Amino acid sequence: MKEPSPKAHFVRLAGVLGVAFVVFLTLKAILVPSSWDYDNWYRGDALELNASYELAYGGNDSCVACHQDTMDEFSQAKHQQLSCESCHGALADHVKDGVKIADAHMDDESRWQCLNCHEARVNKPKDFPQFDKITINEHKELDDEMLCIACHSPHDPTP
Amino acid sequence: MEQLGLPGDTLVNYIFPNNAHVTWSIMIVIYPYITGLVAGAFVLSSMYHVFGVKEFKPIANFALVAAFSFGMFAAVPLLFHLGQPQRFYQIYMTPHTTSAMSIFGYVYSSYLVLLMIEIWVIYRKVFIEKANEATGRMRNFWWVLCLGITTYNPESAKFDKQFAKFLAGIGIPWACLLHGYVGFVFGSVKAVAWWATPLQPFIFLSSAIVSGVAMMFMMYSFIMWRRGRGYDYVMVKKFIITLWMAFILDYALEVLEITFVSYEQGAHWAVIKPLLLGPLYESYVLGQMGFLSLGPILVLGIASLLDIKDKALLYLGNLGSLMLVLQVLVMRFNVVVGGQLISKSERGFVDYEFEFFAKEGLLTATTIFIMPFVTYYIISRFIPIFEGKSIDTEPKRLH
Ligand code: HEC
Ligand code: HEC
Ligand code: HEC
Ligand code: HEC
Repeated sequence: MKEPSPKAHFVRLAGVLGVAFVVFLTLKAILVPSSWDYDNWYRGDALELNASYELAYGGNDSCVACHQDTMDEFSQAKHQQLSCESCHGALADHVKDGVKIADAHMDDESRWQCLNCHEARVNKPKDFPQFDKITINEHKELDDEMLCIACHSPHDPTP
Repeated sequence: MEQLGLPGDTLVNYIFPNNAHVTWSIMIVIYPYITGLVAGAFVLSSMYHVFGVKEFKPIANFALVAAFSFGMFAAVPLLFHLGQPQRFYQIYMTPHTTSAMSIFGYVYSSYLVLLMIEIWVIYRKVFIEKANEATGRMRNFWWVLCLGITTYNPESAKFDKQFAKFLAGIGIPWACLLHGYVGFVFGSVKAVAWWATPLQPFIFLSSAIVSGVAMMFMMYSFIMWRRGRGYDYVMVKKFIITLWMAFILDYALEVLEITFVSYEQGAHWAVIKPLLLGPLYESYVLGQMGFLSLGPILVLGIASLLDIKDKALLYLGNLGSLMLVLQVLVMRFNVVVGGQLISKSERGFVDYEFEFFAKEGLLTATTIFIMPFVTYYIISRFIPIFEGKSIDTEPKRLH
């Protein structure tokens, strides 16, 4: 048998690496999602996929059909820009196929929901109404148990 | 937390609802740790292969194989952390230059390939011997490893040497790149005050070298102890001095960084100071910067400077190494978890609780961390690591 040249193993190594590289490129070409958008760098199909998920949150319009009264009150008041579902939970947990399936979430026993947004903090815009015990007389005597909704309607909070 | 001194008696400890959980957990602590061991071990092996430090000849190949064993598992914690291991290949698919993290697959695997080729070149002679001795299935295995060339041409030894040296040479900047990159990933997160410093890559790199060298020292002592064939004390001494100097450099960088931030008294110091004096007091002030740093500097300093010999030298070296291996581990923890303890509002701290049995718990972390040692053991069953049977890459010295 002929002696292999002293560099033969390098040639073979280069061959192996070359083949591995081509295999890698091929796999990459196959495995990159076909809908990949190279201009905006995202998977195009992701949009459709997300759209296909079952709806959980319906938005405020989805409540109108059954809660016209609340809606009328709400849409004239200061809280009009809020989402009903931020206080009452997702539509999907409450209504399915146009029928009520479970009670909506309703926090009428604590103050955390109101304080979650209204707790006074320096990083909030000055003109945002904040719960403070200094300038508002009615708040001064409040203990920590007193519910906010005793004086403020959650849908029309202006006292 | 009064130190923050915010206006209007504002409530501190304010945690946003999406900020209650420390998402980068223990897995992300051991990922840079293992990566660091790879880089450190490689640099150690290059001391001989590239710079011709003769004393390190007996451990040059050992460090290389150990680097490879750790390298095999560097990305495993990430897979556990992300929780979708079957999608591992996706990191190679669509990397983008605007995301350092998405480049990881390439940085990491290119380095692993380099390591494999270097080991292959150095051990080719051994593979060929095995291929000629073995029979049956094992023969095929070795034959494939030799790429079908089963005669060892003495002339090719020359080329192998040159090539191995070349690989070790480019391997050093590459190893630095790999670990500097890991520091970069953290240092470039400008939203986390405790991470964002351009010094971060250097700190990660130097601590990587320290942890790698210290780990090699302990592994070397253990393996030699098991074999009972004596230690190479000349090398042990050199080992200790190298480790000592590497750590002094590393510690200097760490001290510089913190001194800088504290001296600047910038906006972020207001949150970093209470972080270090509060939740990280034990692990940072006492551990990382205190006992686990001053201890090794003292112990290794004594071993390096005084005329200490034999067993005493070995014991001091191991004590110092153990502390350093822990120092770097704690440092990774202080960076990774510590940075996330600052709540996104920068007004207070989030809690972190150790888990044990959880998906990202200590048990998983320990198991992953043991794997490189098992791998090393398995490899050492197949190829001789300390016998000096591989080709000798000793560089020519000028003097
Ligand atoms: C700020 C939080 C908040 C928002 C926003 C909110 N609600 Fe309410 N809602 C409450 C609370 C609190 C109660 C309980 C009132 C009580 O017990 O007096 C309640 C009660 C109700 C009830 C039970 C009957 C009633 O009026 O007491 C309905 C129905 C209702 N909400 C519908 C809506 C709809 C529809 C919207 C959006 C248009 C909405 N809510 C927006 C907090 C809110
Ligand atoms: C298909 C009709 C329907 C839709 C749509 C609907 N609800 Fe209701 N909801 C009901 C019915 C029925 C009740 C029970 C009323 C009662 O007992 O007087 C109710 C009760 C409630 C209550 C009181 C607590 C309870 O469960 O008894 C709240 C709060 C509420 N709805 C919120 C909402 C919100 C917010 C939406 C929009 C996201 C919404 N609902 C959409 C039918 C609907
Ligand atoms: C999701 C955030 C959010 C929650 C929860 C919330 N609010 Fe509000 N609240 C607002 C916003 C937004 C405004 C309007 C601010 C403006 O007009 O600039 C407002 C306004 C108010 C006002 C001022 C009305 C006025 O006339 O100026 C009061 C009082 C109030 N909310 C009370 C409450 C109470 C009580 C609760 C608990 C039932 C509550 N809010 C829950 C966001 C919230
Ligand atoms: C005892 C009744 C009472 C209770 C309970 C109460 N408030 Fe008020 N609150 C008032 C009155 C009255 C005003 C209006 C004061 C004014 O305009 O001078 C007011 C004003 C406000 C404002 C508007 C401040 C502004 O700058 O415009 C907010 C926000 C508010 N309250 C939040 C809350 C929250 C949150 C709670 C529960 C933690 C709460 N309140 C509990 C009576 C009450």
